[in-house]
Amino acid sequence: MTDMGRVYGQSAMDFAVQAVALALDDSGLDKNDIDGLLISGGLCSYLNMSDAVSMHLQKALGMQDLKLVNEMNAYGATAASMLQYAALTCASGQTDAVVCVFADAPLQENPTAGYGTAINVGTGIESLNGPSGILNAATQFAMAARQHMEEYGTTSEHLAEIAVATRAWATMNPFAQKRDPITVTDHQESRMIADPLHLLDCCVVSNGGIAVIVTSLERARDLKQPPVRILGWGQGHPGDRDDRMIHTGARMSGLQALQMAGAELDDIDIRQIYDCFTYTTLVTLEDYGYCAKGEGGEAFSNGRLGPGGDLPTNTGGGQLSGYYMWGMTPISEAIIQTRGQAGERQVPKHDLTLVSGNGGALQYHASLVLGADI
Amino acid sequence: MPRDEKRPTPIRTDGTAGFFDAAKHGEFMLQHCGNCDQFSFTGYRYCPNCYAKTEWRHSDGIATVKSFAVVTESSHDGFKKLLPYAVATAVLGEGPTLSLRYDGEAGNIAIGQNVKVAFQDNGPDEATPVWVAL
Repeated sequence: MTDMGRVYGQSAMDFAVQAVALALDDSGLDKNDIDGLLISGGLCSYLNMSDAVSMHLQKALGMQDLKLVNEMNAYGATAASMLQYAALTCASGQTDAVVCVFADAPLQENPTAGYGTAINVGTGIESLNGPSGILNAATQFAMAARQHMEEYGTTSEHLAEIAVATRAWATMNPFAQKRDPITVTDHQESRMIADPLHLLDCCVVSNGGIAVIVTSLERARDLKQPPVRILGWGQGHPGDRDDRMIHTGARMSGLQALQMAGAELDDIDIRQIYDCFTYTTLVTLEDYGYCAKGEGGEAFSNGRLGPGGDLPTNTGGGQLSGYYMWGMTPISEAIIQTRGQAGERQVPKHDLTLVSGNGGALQYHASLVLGADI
Repeated sequence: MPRDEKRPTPIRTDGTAGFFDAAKHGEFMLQHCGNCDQFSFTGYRYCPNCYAKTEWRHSDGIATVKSFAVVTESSHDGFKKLLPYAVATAVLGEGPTLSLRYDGEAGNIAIGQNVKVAFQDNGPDEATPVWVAL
């Protein structure tokens, strides 16, 4: 992974190339060992910004005669889906080593337009969001959080507990953008963005790139880093199902991933949850089955998700405090923890990690179970 | 009006021409399927239930609020003037769900309340649907 955050002077495509170079160096593989490339872009791709990540990445990487290339999109569920697809092609023998890349560079040193106005307008019925003032994800997730509050009695203070626990992890991550500890009071006093969501319910925005190389276990064992095994995966896409805001695709995709890995929820050591907002962490853990439906507010309070808690979650600061690389944020931290390379934030037991990727306004979901080679 | 202060307006497609034609004179329409008798609001020609061709049909636009958000910060000059404004997802009597801005006091909206579609005249541009209190 490249430097993260307010890193200026290069495009998303530049970050993508840099991320691949770093991943090759990290693994000990040569560029010519790579025979598959899966590509995913972030905000730049949807805002049609210059040099957004695209199929041109193959050319930028100087890779020819690959056996697999695809630009994939399930929004925040893309990264986990890329790893699934890469694993399938490696398992079938179609490919030997596939590099999965996400890169984005929406932050500008001298911004000409805010992310708040940066909407994908669409046409026809899809074009009604912009005129309706639904200009960002915060507005949609605010409606989701309010629905949960109305149905189950969840409070803003419950969401604050998640922000505080996630920030506590970020204080120990040199890659994290927000590293000053916060309190529930800080959360409550942070300005309102879209009621009921405060500023500290929202993720950061980042420039950067992350590349993950998928290959066979035999091959991985001969490389420089400890292998991280892809033990299970699943997807669950509610689409526009009416109650998807409080009953998400995490349930369906999580059950599949655990079943494939032959694991129970109790076997999972660490959770890396897609956290575009605090609410997303709450509802995802709830739908994974970490508490009875609707009880996530109380269940994930009192530091349970934070350092020293019994449910270590988003141990790098997630997207709330760490870096916003969409579905690659939880995957990258899962890899760092599974390898035992997380420094002072290392979770002592790190054999099995459950990873989520959540796309759109809760329409799309993909899960992974990643494990150490033990 | 300076360009940045102009709020975005809807973009007509061939499949939504019937909707936006009716919107111009303040009438709200939904898609209706003559084959399975279901209402939908995709803007695409075929019924999402049975894939038969749909037709635009009048609706009273009355819906029940399922959830709402009160937007308190915007970097869009056209919406800054409206802050704080509410956005609500509401379920129409015919079935489809729709998310629109609530044109009224943000503090007056509540889950379970009934609202109704109205249109804002945008001159030569397409009319914008909003929720109004019933």
